[in-house]
Amino acid sequence: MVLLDAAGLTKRFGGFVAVDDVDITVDTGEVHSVIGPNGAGKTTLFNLLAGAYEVTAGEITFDGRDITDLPEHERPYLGISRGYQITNTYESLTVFENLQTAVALYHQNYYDMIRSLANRTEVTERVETLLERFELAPQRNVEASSLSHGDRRRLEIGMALASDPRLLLLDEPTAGMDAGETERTVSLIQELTDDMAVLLVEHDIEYVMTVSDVITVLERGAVIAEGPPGEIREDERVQEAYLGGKADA
Amino acid sequence: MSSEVAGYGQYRELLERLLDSPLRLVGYAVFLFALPRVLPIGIGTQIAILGLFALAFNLLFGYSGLLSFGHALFLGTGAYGAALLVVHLDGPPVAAILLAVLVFEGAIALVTGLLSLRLGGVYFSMITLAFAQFFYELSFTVDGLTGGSDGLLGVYRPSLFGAGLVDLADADNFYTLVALLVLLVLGFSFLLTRSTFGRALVAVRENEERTTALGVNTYRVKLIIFVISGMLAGMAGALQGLYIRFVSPDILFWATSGDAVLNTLVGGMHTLFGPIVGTLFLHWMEDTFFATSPGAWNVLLGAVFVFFVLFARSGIVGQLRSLLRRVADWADRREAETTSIAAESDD
Amino acid sequence: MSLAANILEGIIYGASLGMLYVLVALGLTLIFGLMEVVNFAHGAFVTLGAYLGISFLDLTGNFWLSMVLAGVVVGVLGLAIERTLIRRLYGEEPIYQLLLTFGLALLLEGAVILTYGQDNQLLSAPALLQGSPVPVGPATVPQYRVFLILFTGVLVAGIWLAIQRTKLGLIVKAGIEDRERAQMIGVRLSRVNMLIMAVGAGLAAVSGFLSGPLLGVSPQLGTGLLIVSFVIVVIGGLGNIRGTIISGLMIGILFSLTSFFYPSLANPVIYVAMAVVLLVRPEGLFGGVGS
Repeated sequence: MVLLDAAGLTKRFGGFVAVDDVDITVDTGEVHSVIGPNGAGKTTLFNLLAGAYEVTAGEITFDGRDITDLPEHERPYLGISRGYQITNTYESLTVFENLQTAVALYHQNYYDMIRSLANRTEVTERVETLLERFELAPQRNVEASSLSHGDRRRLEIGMALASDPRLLLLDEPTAGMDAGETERTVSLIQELTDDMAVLLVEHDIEYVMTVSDVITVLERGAVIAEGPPGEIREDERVQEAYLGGKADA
Repeated sequence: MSSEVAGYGQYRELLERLLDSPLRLVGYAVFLFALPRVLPIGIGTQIAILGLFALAFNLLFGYSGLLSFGHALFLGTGAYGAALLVVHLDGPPVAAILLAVLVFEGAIALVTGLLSLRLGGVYFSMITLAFAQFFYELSFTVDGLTGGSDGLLGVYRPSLFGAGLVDLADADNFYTLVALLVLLVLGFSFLLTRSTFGRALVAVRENEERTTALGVNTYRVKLIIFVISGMLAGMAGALQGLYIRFVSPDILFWATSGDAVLNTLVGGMHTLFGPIVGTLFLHWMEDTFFATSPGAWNVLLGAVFVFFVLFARSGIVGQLRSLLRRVADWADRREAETTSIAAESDD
Repeated sequence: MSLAANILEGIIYGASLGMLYVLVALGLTLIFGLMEVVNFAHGAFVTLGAYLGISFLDLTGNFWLSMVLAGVVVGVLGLAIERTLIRRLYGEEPIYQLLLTFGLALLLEGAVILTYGQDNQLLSAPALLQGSPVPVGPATVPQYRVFLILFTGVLVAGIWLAIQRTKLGLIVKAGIEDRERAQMIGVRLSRVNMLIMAVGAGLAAVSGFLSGPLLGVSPQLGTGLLIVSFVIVVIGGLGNIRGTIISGLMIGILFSLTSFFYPSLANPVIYVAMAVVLLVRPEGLFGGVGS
């Protein structure tokens, strides 16, 4: 079933076309990755889908609903959630508070000024589940700014999952991780797809090949190839533009 | 085991519970009860009113990180509003005046907030300052209403509920009213800061981008706290006008906005009671030692403030709190050491 | 006097006042553009410039020399403040620099009150410029106002050219546009920060001294000008040099014209102008950052 469908997506910054007439669809239950060399427009595309940037041209539908102009802060309520390329947590809050914030602001009425957040057992229970799932329980009282890189990345994903999204957008989730951390994250992502779709934006294509169902390759803002990992690996244009380019570098 | 290593020891745990307990409100009540008995009631009333003003300012600044340099706007218009109601309506009950001022200030805050929040960050500070200056200039322009630079005379304190019920001309009664309102606002702030909305404010302060992505309409969150803060600052202004029984443009001057900033930062910006402590400390200092030398006071005040910004940003209350935490952690470590030594000697 | 003469006079009076605003706002905008610091102490630099200028005038009897001396002394003070205090907070939230410089503003204003007292001081235009007013078309304008427009015009044009044409100016521009990138390509912004802070403070002092004959000198002179400068940079865009100059002139002229026709509205009207801009074009009249 098609969950996310973007057609003719274009973004211009002044005279510069960062994303040029891109079509992309994501089905329920699939991991769809967008790869491409630096400056190919991956992060811009990501921000368009997340609603952080306004679309210059094109259309985005989610679950049959037109969300092209839907403000970013309303997208989580349809079931879209995002992570960040640069870890973007609440630095001075503890791990527990970070997750609590993410859970409470989504699941509770955030205009409630009277009832104590600490007494919301349904929030606390969800936070505990997330702490277990992301193996962050030992660090529950540690401030996010003092976490190791890998722990922060997992916290980041945990926060994005607090809204039980149907589509999770992740921007280079394993950037800066060592091999062990990457493996843990990859298996996490694979578990996730049991009940949701994941759209990954990645620079490093190594693990993308193992984790993805479909891969879209961007170059200079445009799609140059799309298909399952096996096909992409064989595609000449991809090898030339991306893999070849990388080997030269 | 591992969770205990990362978690708190028993003393720290106890301290955190105390710091988070509603019992604090009893402490605030005792403080407010003692204030006019330790200091002359005139100074005590003034500190309580200006403390309320700083408290209102800090609801915005401390929790959402929005630095308003224009809160004089609310204090001033609140004072003028209350004074004009007394003069022109022949002394309506103070309760009615306070309600009217709350509504009026809510409207002013809504309009100025909608505009000031359109640009982020430091623009907000500049724009709020400019709006306050607008009302300052306006108070000279509409001198038929405000008395211009001569100020508004003929203000008096009607009774609280009309028909002579609770005489506010009596200094003790008036102080009690102010103290009860301060307690009410402290109670509300206490609930607010622990609520989901309070967390939304902290989230906006710490990372607005992330908070938007979590599904929060951050513009509206900021607007709501701006309006609440403006209303409460306006109420402090109404009390100030009734207390002094005179209002002049000075109350709208930028230095008045600056006082809220100074009192709050010195007292402790991320704390509930800090603004009151800061007001007490600075007002008492100025009143006792510098009443006749504003130049020297400004030099000292500026230097103290620079010191706090550079070295003690969490203010007096914040510093005390981290001191207590350090002591508790030290006690926990001591205990852990003794237990492990005891465990070894058991072997 | 005819309406046309009135309007022309209002515009010329406004331009002379507006150019004084521009001198203050330009420093503010450059300092913000480069260091991301909203310098609240900028108003105190203005006040200090005016008072120091008066002292130098008492000492030397020469208006021009006093102006230069005031500018240099305050410029050095600005540099010292940047080195010792403001630089400690680079990279932190701009709010803390605003708070820090607010404290400095209080301190400096207090020092002025302590030294000179709270009363207004008289500063008259130099004898050279006190002759009969100059006819400009149907209007007549005091010589000092004409001088202000010409002198500050040359000063601002010089700064503009220095930024557009010199190597140093290019560095300043690069720093304003993208601080991180400028540092990455090896520009030593630390030196540039010092220079811009000194120049900005010096300009503020000169503006304070020159505005003395127009506005009178009081300890609150600078903060008054600072708040108007805030309005100007909100309209023109912080870090936007061209926008700052244009909106400074516009505000000066708006003020003067209003004070010709509705004197009691002259002070409030500039804030109404700001509110209208915020309502219609919140990103400022001249777009975002850039020159």
